[in-house]
Amino acid sequence: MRRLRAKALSGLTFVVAFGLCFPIIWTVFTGFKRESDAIAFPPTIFVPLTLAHYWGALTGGYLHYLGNTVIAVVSSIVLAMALALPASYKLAFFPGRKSNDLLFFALSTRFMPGVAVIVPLFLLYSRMGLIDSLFGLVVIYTALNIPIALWLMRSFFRDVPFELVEAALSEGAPHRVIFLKIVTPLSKAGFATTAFLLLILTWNEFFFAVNLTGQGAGTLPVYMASFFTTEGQSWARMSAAAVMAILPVLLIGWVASRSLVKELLAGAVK
Amino acid sequence: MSAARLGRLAPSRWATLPAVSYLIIVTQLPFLATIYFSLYSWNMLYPNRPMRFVGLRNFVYIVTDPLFRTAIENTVIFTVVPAVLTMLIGLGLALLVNRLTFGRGLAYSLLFAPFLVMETVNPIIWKTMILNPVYGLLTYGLSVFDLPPVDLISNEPKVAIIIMITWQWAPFMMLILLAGLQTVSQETIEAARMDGAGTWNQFRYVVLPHLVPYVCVGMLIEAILILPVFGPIYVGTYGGPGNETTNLMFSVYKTLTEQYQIGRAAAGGLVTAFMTTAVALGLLSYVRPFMERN
Repeated sequence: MRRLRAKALSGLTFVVAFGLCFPIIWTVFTGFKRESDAIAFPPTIFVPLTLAHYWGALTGGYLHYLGNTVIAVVSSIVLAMALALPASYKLAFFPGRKSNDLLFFALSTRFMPGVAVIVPLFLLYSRMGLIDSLFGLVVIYTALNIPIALWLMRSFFRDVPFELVEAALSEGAPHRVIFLKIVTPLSKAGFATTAFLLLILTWNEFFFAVNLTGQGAGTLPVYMASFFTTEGQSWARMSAAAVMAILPVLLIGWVASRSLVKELLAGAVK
Repeated sequence: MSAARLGRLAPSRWATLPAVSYLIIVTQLPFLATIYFSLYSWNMLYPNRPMRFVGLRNFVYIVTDPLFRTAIENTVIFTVVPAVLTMLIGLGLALLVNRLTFGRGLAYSLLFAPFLVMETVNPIIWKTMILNPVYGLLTYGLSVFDLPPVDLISNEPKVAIIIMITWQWAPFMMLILLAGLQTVSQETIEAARMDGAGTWNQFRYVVLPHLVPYVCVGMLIEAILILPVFGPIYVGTYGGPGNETTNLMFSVYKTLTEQYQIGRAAAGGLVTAFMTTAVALGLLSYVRPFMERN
């Protein structure tokens, strides 16, 4: 009786999980349908399928916006890491009296809503010709990524035994070498976790992107928003485009989610 | 190594400079500029009219103007309701997943997916696939039970927006609570069972108290990140019908990009920042004792 109940609950879990994911699954499926089948009522399952919409999405504007997104995401993550890592290293191994203040200051800048800074940025970017430029977007995304990189990498560095750092120091090794030869190799999982999280957040960022970019430097979230206004009637096409926009993050998230969560929570409670 | 020697060998204080100065330049200076602009009346559509100092009049406008009033109310609604809903749903999901003995990876992947969907694709999926009154899956589901179609987007747009936000954030809360569940002491559970506590009492007196700090931290992060929600409103309803789903974030966006009212937009931005800070500080003061105890 007890085993039966356990089995039923496990079954229920998968039904619920499938139900919550169903909107996404259905969107993937709709992307394979012909337009007339996509809007058929009642909804259809056994209909001829086509790759035309996914192919169409690939050859349409998608690649341009994908390219913009990749550039914005990768450069802002690299820049943020470069700027934040020295601080993470310092705060992890040699915290001072002001370390906590500094960490909370960094975090508070990340949690500031975009509207609190958008007006002057918009004006400044207009004056400097930075509207609709990837450079302008990367400048902001870097600022969004620094606090998270700083905070997380600090907690991952703290997993590295301090004795190792201390020993190398007393041998006269400079911090640059300690960082590259000891700390970095021992925090590979931390680097991956932080990069994944930053990727998910930056890939999906919409507010700054829609305010500061257009057709030139727009990213995928902007593309999807404009796609919806212009092509909102072609459901199958739109489904295919939507799937293409979220697919990279979905795949990475699926591969990484378990270790991501484990590492993040381990990092957060320290 | 002695503390003094170690202190001399520590990296210089300049190590934190790149990150801190970058954050100050890109976030704090614009924030100060926002405060400055919020005290002026300036419409970019009329370049000949000079900026005029108006003191706090922009803020008075925001608190009294019906549109902004609605926006402030909606900001509260779109933060509080999804936060509570995701907490309840996330707890249920976490309890279910936690007792799985097989297929955890699959359940994780399915449940985590909505959180990865970008905030402009989320409303596309809901608005067209599910909530469309003519072809949507909801209409179909209702028709199976001989119920008439419901047009949530037009008639209950707030509910539609809340559904979108909750769908996206419930997985997040689930993950946090799952981590909490995995650290529940099995010995305490066992002891409670030996003392004759049933499943409900084990949950009520052992598991739930253990989860409280996790719930608080989850709610804190959620409140801060959901309060400035933008994508579902922009794509899902464009703030309408009328202003029914306009929140502060969206009204500032419109004030800035459609009316070019710089001062007013800046003031709206500051009110949003103020609300976020108030929520964050409120929740933080509640969370802190738990965090420090652990």
